[in-house]
Amino acid sequence: MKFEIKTLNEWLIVVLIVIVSGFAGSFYWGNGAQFNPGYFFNPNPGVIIMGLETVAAIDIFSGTVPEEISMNFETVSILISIVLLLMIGPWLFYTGYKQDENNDESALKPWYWFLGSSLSVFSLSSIPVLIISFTVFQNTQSSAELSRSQDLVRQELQHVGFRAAEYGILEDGFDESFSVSDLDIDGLKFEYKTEKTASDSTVIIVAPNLETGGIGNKIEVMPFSPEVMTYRN
Amino acid sequence: MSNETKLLIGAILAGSIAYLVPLYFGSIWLGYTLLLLITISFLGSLIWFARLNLESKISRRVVIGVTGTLLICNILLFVHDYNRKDYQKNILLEIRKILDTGIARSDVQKELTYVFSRYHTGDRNSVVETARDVMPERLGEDGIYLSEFDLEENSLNDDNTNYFYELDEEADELRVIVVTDVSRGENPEFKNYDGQVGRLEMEFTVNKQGVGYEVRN
Repeated sequence: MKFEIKTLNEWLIVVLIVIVSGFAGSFYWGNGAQFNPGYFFNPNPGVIIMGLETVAAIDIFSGTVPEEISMNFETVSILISIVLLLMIGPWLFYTGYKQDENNDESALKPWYWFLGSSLSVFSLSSIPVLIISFTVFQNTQSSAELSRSQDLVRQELQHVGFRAAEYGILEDGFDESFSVSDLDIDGLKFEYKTEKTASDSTVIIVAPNLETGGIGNKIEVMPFSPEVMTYRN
Repeated sequence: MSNETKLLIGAILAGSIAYLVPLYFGSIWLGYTLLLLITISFLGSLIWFARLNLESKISRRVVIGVTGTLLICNILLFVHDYNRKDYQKNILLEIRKILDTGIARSDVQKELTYVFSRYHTGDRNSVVETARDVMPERLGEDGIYLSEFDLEENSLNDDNTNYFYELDEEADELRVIVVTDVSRGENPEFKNYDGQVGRLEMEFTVNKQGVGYEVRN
């Protein structure tokens, strides 16, 4: 067998092993099994810790004490994944090459080279995982930034609403010329407008829409009503 | 036994101990970091063995290339994961703070603004007296302010927010202090009104001048 064809065949066998074992594993174990051995072949085991951190964060958010991270199937699978994919795999890969140098040139590489190559090739899927992870995180950050700004608009709108209510009480209503600048609020990040209503004892405050640049949330300020203010669409 | 085999067994044993001992004590990130450091040293040593022992240039390049790529990718993945380990928690706590502030303001400040409007439009001489007339159900015993949640929900549920009030007859002022159990304030050492430490605390006041709102921590 020519050297190039032999090498090509060996790598094709490796690719075939990775594909077949990947499919077989997902068909046999699926994703729902409690003790899924698929956990032992995780090219990014750190994602398990991130999952546990997320559960703890949700617990804190909801006011309950998060469970301590302990030794269980999931956490131990991190160790097994690293041992299989980053220690045993590359070691078999290297040892297979080393053994092959002593063998007859026409013979196929030893069985453990195929096993080590398959594990290493599978482990290399950490490259797309890394790229996807970076992209997803960047998207999450930009959408979190937008949400943060929208929250700030809502907070400021509420603040402006209460100040307008106080102004309305002290001035006994709102005259035609009333605007948000009359409230003397320092440090507002966004611009708010007013809309008149049929009654001079109420006023509508309009917030900007950060996504479209048009009209966003509105509140109707009613200083003399027990509701004080209501949100409108 | 070859040196490479000794290296593998040593790396597995050292990695297992470095990971499992901190994990047992609840420090998974410490264990994961130590495990990765050992793995990186193992992969580095394997590259060194390949340079030393593999005669074929192609075999050497393939082993060094694959092992080196694995090494770099896993370092980058670890750095990426480690940098965002608190991201979810911080975002959720930020959201919780916004919710707590918004709820407290729309509950307490709304009520106090209404007291202020009744004081101005009515014939009462005192803000404190107006508050007692307008919202008697809110002013509970022992300085406990009853929020909308407390009045509507049964006592089994908890909104993780504690409300208190102080009536200052001399200054003719009503103060409502709100302390949350979950949201954290700016100063982690701040001693809260209810004995907690470092939690978000707000103070609302109503007096003859108007309605005030201040974030104490």
